[in-house]
Amino acid sequence: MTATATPDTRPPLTRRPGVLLGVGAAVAAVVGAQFWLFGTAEDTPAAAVSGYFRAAIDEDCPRAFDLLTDPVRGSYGTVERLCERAKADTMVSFQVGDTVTTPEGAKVTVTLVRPNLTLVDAVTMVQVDGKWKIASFEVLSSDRGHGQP
Amino acid sequence: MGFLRPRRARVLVAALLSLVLVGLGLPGFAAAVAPAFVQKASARAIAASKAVSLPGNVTTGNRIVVQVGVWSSGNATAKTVKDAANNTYTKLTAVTASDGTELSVWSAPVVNGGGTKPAITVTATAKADLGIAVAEYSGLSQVADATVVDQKSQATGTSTVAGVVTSGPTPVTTGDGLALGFYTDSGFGKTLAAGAGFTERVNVSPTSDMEFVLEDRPVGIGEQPSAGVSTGAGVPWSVATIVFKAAQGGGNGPTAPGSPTSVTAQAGNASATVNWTVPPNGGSPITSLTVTPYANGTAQTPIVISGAVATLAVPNLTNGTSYTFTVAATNTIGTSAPSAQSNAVTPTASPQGQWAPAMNWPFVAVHMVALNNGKYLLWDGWHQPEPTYLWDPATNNFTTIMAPDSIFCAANAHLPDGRVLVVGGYGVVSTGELGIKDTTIFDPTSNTWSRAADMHYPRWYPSVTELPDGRYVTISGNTSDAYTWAEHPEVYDPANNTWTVLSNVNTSQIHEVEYPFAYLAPNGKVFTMGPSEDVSYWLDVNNQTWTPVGASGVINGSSTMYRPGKILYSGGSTTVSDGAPAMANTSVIDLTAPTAAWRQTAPMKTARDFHTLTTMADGKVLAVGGAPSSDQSKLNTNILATEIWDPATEQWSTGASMSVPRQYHQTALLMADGRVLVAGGGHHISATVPGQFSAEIYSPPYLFNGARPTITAAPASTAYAQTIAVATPDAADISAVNLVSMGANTHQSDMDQRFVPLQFTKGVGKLDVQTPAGATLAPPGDYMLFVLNSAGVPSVAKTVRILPSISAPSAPSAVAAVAGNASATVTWSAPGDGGNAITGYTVTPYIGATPQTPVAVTGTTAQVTGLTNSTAYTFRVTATNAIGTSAASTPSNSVTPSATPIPGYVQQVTGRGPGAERAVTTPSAVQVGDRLVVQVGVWNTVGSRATGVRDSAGNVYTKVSSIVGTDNTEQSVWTAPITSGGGQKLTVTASVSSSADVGVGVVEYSGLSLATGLGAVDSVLSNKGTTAVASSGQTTASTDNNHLAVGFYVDSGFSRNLTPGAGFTQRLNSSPAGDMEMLIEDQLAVLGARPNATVNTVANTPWMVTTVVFKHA
Repeated sequence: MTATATPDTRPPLTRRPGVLLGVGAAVAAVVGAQFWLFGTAEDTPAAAVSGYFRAAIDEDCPRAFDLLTDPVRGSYGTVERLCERAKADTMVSFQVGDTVTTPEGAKVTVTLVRPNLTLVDAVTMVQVDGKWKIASFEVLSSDRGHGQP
Repeated sequence: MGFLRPRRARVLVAALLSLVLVGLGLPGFAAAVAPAFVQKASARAIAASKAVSLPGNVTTGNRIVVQVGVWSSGNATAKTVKDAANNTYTKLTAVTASDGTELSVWSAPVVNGGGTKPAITVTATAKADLGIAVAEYSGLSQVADATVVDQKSQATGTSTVAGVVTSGPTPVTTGDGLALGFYTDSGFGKTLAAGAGFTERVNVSPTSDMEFVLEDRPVGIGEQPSAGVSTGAGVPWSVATIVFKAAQGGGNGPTAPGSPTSVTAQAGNASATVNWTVPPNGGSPITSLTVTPYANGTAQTPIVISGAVATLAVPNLTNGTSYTFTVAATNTIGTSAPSAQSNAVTPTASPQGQWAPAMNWPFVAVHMVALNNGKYLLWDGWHQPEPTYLWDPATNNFTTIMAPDSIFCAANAHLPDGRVLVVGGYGVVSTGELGIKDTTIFDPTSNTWSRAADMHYPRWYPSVTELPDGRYVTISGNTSDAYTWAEHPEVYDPANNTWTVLSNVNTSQIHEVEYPFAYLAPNGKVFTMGPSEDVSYWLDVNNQTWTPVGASGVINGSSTMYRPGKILYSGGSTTVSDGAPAMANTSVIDLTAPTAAWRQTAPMKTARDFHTLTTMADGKVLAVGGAPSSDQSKLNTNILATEIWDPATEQWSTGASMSVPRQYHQTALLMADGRVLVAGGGHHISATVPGQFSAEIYSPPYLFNGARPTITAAPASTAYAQTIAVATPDAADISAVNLVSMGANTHQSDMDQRFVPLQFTKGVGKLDVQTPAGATLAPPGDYMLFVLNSAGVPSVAKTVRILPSISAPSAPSAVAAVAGNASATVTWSAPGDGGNAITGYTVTPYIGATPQTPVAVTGTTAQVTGLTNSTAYTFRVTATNAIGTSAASTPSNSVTPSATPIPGYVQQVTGRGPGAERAVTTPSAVQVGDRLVVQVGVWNTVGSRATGVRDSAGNVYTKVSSIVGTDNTEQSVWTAPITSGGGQKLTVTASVSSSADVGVGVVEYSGLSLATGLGAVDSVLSNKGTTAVASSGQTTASTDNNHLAVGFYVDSGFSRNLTPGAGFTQRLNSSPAGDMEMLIEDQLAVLGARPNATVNTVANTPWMVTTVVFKHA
């Protein structure tokens, strides 16, 4: 017996792909322009977060790996594993938001845009040898949980 | 009435005799009585003087304590306190707040006016707003002046935020006594409450005039109590703590115990279970407790139980009658006052079980895995990497351990050796696909996570199921996004750390948006259920076939395999998340039938989605929580009543209601004591949306049917088709023996759920139990073994490991040696017994590589004598059972016996968490004659400080040092010689002045001085800073050889990788952590040495380091 999907309980594989691509491209253009206009080396928490996701999208894996501290590096294990996951990622764009300083360092919000899934993360930043690096990620909001159309 | 006269005469004679004997100082009649609260009164007035009377007659020999608050615009103060019986009041303290309010405390021994109610008059220097609290206490010193005070402290301030204000700790107490806390403010409409550890006696709040609190708690020698009161923001306040000496010479000897506290009762069938907190023992071990039932307020025959136990099942009660209970504690000195009455309970013939009060947890327990050491591994979600939490029910402590990756909505199950296998997780938190390929393993013996081989496919929401041969199959799970799935199962082989894809099987029929259910059936195949599609399949891993079975009539429900091959499936809704109504449908399937087919049975009493199903110790199934629809966002669903499904009748019945609604992301597991732990719920789209930060424990009805049977011994491990002896004094009354898996639950799916009834025969004092015939019934691993009596009451389970086959034992581990005089004490951890009981151990000393004469013992410790002083030895240990002898252990640490004892490290434990107390339990039994050193780190925004350290055996701790860092974190060091509790694991508890982040590190050493107080300390030096290398600085010169310099480091958690300083040996290291980080290290100190403990941290980390040089024995 083969089960078939029930239309009213299963989400479509894509929803308005043309619109999505358009929105994605526009957001990417804005983010790119911001980065070009305001981007610097990773001398601020926000710049380090931006640098990480830019490097991941660009599949510049050593650079992305270098912006992580040991605990979160362990998520990937090796540069090659991070690279494998970055290549498989469908992220369209990202946008860095507010920075809040904390006793340990800083927290930076970042919005990650993927087809059918937008997340807002809080990225915990610490200074290692004077450079801002990522200690952990936490999802602050997502536009869908599991199984939500 | 004439017959009473001789009795009166006898009583009179006895009383006179007692007085004479007391006068002679005979201890048997002059036993000390612990201080106890008797009565209280309060008053408030705007006047120059105010009189107050206690409600009952005062008693000669007691003591009256008067708290006076005074405020006027002219700064009036309390001038006198007198009473109508002419007792003499002494002013013990006074403190004035910034708004001019004066708090003063006065006290008098009741010398005159016993048996009357003398008016107590407070007079101020002028007309003022007066607030007066009066309390009478028994058991306090009768001195007439201020020498009744052992220690005191006081403080005043203005609160900036709502919270607890304190007097600050008193100096160290010199004996047993009673700490009274006094709080006063001039009336700001704040609701006051007594601080942690104190019992509130008077509370006049909220008012717009004088507000005040009087509270107390017993104290022992060496404590530093700090009274706290919860108040509001913007309040000028004053708090004082005064420690009154106990009677009997100021408390310089043992007294009767304090009264038990927190006495609660749970109703059963003609019975009740009473629990309480064992009080401080007054310096002498508690020998018995007396539980007194009250039937409708009338005292019944007390029950006396030996030892310092904390629970009692009270039998022979009358159903339908309301009962309360009191508990009193007795030691060799005397008996405490009875506790406060418990809650009232009414035993009934058919109790529905009972929920304990909800416990606040610092996270939402989306995943819950029971460990074979009695602890629970739990985690929430939405983090990379994911913090996981180790919860110890014995101490209610959490230890945070960072997982390698985001393991949110991964699959979880136990490996045969007790480790926890976690498969997949959530990859889009930062960079990656929706699923991840990770395999992670948690080891409960080391409390560490490690990565294993990656899967071939990323998976989010997969299942994982143990196969008969100890391999694991994972099925389904999202891969790149929510619309793609891993279509081919994979098999993990732990022995080779490899994943193998079942490429000939395609599971596209179960594209689940939740976890599929997958159960190992007695035929060796994996029965797989696709909840969303309502389909089920046989997966034959060995032959790589995938065969349909049929529909159940239940969609997106919850399931459990309640007997081998028999599955219960119930509830659910037509969708997973968009709010479709819940259903009550219930179906079962018997996979052992020639043609397995689903069969619908009686529906649940309440339609519910996202509920948990837990097979309990008696084989009935508990349904907990759930939602009325599939809207995952709803927290308060009001489905609080539980349901219990009876396999014999296939009917649901309603059970007790929990206090906290739980639905999506809730978890539940059967505990080894037969209760059910339930937690979590919420956090459906992030860690910031609402969630249930709590847990509750359910006591099923079977715990209210009388006394529990006990298992006194069971083999630690066995194999298939064996007969094992299970020792129980209740053998004649045993009706069932059940094997239940440990459990690994998430999202209504316990992937490690299994219930196997075992055959048995009754013997004298034992049962001969037949283990499962094969691995398809119970794959290898750890199980809870319950015995049930004829009333259906289960025992507390023993953990039994089912091994594939019987073999010689494994090699012992953790071999440690401590040098003595021409001797050494060697300890080790018992290894796996290979499925056959270990009959003995052989300990072989080595000088270099040369073995010496071995020693044979039966326990896990050996005293090896006849060694040569000044010669270095190591030790190896082998274990023997009926099959053979293990390989030798790895060598112990090297020790050199000496006529002068050389201090030696024995064991350590550390714990951290929020609260006013933090308790840790030593992993092994301690030894009398050793010494415990305790490090306490405290941080909160209002400068909380450590106020005391105690342990479960009543050893007396002395504060050695305290230093406060630049970020207001405090490190203090405490120590106690172990004089009691030998042979037991000790629970060491640190108290702090207000709820804070508290870290506790404990190390046991041998060979140190047993001098009391600071007599064991040769020198001590503390320092603070923020440099990359933390250092205490050099101590003064050591006064002898073989002293031990111990270095203590604390910071408030900056994820630093701490390492010990050069020349020091690390004993404890809790770094890196996002919270309190601690390190303890040591080195031997020779005569004239000036040790300087250093720890390598990272610059800009606020740290504290203390070096304490302890004297050798």
